[in-house]
Amino acid sequence: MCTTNRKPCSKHAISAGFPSAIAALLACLWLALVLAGTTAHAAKPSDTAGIVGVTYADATLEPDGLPVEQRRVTLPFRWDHEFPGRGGRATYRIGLPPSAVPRDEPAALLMSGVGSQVTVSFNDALVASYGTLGDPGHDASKSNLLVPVAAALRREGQAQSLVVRTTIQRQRGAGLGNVQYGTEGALSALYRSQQNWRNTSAIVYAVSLLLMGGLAGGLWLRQRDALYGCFALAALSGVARNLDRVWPDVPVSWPLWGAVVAVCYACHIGLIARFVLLVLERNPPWLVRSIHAALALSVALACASFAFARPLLWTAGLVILQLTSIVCLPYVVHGALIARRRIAAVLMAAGTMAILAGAHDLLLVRMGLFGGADYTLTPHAMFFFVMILAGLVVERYSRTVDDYSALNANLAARVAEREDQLRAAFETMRQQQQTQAVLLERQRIMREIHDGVGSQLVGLLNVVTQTTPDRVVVEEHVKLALDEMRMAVDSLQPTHDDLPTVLATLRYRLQPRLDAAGIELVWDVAVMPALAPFAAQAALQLQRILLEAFTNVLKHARATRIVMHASWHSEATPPLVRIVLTDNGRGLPSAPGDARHAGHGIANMRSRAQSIGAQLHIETASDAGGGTRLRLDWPCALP
Amino acid sequence: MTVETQVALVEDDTGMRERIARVVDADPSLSLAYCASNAADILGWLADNAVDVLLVDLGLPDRPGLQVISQCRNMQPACAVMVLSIFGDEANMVQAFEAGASGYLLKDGTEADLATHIRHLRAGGSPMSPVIARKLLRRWQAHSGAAPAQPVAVTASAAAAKPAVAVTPERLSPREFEVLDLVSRGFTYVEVGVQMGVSASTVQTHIRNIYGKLDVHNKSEAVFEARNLGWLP
Repeated sequence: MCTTNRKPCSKHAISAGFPSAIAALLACLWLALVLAGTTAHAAKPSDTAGIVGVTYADATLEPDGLPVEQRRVTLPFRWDHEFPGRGGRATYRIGLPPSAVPRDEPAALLMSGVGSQVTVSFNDALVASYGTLGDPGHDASKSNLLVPVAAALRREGQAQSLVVRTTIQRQRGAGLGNVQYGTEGALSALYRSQQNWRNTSAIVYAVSLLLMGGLAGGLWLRQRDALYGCFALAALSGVARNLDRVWPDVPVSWPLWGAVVAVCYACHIGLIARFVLLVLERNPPWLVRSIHAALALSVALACASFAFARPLLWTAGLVILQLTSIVCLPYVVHGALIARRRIAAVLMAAGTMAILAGAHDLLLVRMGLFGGADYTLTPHAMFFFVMILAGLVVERYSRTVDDYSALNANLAARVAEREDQLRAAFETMRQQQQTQAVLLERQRIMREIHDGVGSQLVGLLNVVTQTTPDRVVVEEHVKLALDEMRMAVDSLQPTHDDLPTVLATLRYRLQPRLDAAGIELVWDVAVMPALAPFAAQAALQLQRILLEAFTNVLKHARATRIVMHASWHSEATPPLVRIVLTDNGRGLPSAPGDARHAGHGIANMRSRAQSIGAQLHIETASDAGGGTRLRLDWPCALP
Repeated sequence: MTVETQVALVEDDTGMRERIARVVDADPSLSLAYCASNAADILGWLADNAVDVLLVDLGLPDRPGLQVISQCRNMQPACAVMVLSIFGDEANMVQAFEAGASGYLLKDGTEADLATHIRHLRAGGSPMSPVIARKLLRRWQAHSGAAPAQPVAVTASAAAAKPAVAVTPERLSPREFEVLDLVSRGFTYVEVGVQMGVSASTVQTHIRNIYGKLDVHNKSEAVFEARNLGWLP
């Protein structure tokens, strides 16, 4: 049930094969049922052995407001055709043949279309009554009536007398339909088949309409799709009509209930026509307006017809509905034959059937033309639309599921694509960062070697190129160059985010020289948290500052003892590392020769401290003028 | 005078080999038993000759020095292995300790102390730099942070399959942790002893035990014992 003819739709067309198959299957079942039903109707009782069909009756007709008539009527007799818009009373006297039923077999009467209220007397004995005469609460004409007749009542060898008394409400389809007389066995079989067909189909249709109407109503509530709303109303209004066919004791007083059923029927037909246009997605405004107008008009005519006892008005309403349906048909045919839409073809079949059925009901049943008919076809034809809606819902649902899975696949593909892009971008960025880190590290190592070992070697070269190089000075320079070299190598160790270990390594390298110089080192390094990675480079600067300080003490201070404190102050903001290095040497340099070198060293330390944001204080350690204290406060970040 | 300590050496750099040989020869308590320039030679020699101390360069041309250490430990459990390390390579020493080395020596031109170091090692001392102490501390902290010590059976079967792969180390005692912490912060063994209220030689024993806990050979021997006793499959 592809609703468009575009190429991309072919996939849906394949999936739509499923609901089409179901619809076809249902249609076959339906056809079988209808055929079975019509053969049941068509089975003329007179053809069957032991059953006598009654063809006429002597009637006493007492229509309200008209003089009493006494005449012979042919059956089926339809009161509404004789006295449109009038109630009244009627008594039918029928003579039955004496030997229609074997003597010892139970006999029965089978009557249809008798109403509105009935009493049946056989040989002057009351054998059955349906409803109370004159009380419109019961409508006997909706059912077939099987009346068993006791053998004792039969008069042997004489004609049997059958009297059917009826009271009639206007516009209720009353009269006297077929009357059959025969053995109870044969008639009850016939009765059962007729009753089954009649009741079963009506109940099946009513339940189907209720279910599909409810489903469509639910869909409309959730999706606000006019198509579903329209069908829900159409189906629910069709329920009343089908219920009415099998419900003899409706608790609503007669002309009102007649109006209700008529209005529901009008809505049913009119809204189905509207539904067809919605399915086709062809909604020319004039036609939509015409349908609405026809619907309103027929509803008004139905009400007026029952209010003013004018059956013709309701017939006019039905004609209007029939014409409206016919006007819609060309659109369906166009969709099916020109636009080649499968749903249109299905609608065309259903619509044509419905129109033919409607014409049959209107002309034959309602108006009694062309010989008349006493069974309606429209409920059967209308059931087709229920199946169309079911197929439509299935098709739309499968299409939605397909669309969703396609959408999901599409989204998943796009997400994957985006992920790939992100991964590639991330990888590129990571490589760039890595390259950058390697570059920075390489620059740092170059600077380390240049500033450290390089400058020591330049100093050594100066010493060596003097005319008489001092062996002690040369050795000192070589040792310093080695220290610088070790420092540079240490800076490549992977543990320099740990400040105590950085300091410890410094001591580990320097301890032999301090031992050789006879200097005692008092070591007090507290536990500190690990530093942030970027602070690790700064830790190395700290190491260099301390190396410079130690070297100064070794070279110039003539000290015997150095105290090294390193502590962590988390209470400060930002937290800081404090390093205090105190010696007991001769204090800050005063000799001019030393001052030059030491001053250069101190300037170097200060610039290094500045580069890592640390504060460097160098002062005399004691009032007596002895020793030097170096204090370094370094605010540092934690990871 | 005690018996001379027999020393063997494997080192591919000729100059370095000659310098070390000179230093060992010069010391009256040491005797150079054999000099090799590659792993195959020294392993062949070790198969037939007992030695007290083996000096191993990690960067040998034919086989990783770690393998030489490991095989030597298997062939001659009594032999103490010392690694000849280039300066600054201490962080990689941990692997050598795991292979069974009990000390190391820096090749930074101060080999004059080599004889002292060897004597020290023979006397039961083991050097440990702050960087190594920090590395070991982190290693054990990482393991103790994980699940508590695995049953020996699991690690043993893994060790049997791939003996060179690091296995869960034996747990350290709190005292051993304390020693590692203080050494990593730059305290000498004497200072560590003072802070912990023990003698320097006790600290030395702790250090030796820590190295011992690294040595996979100790563990595989333990597993071997356990197998013999029927505790393990």
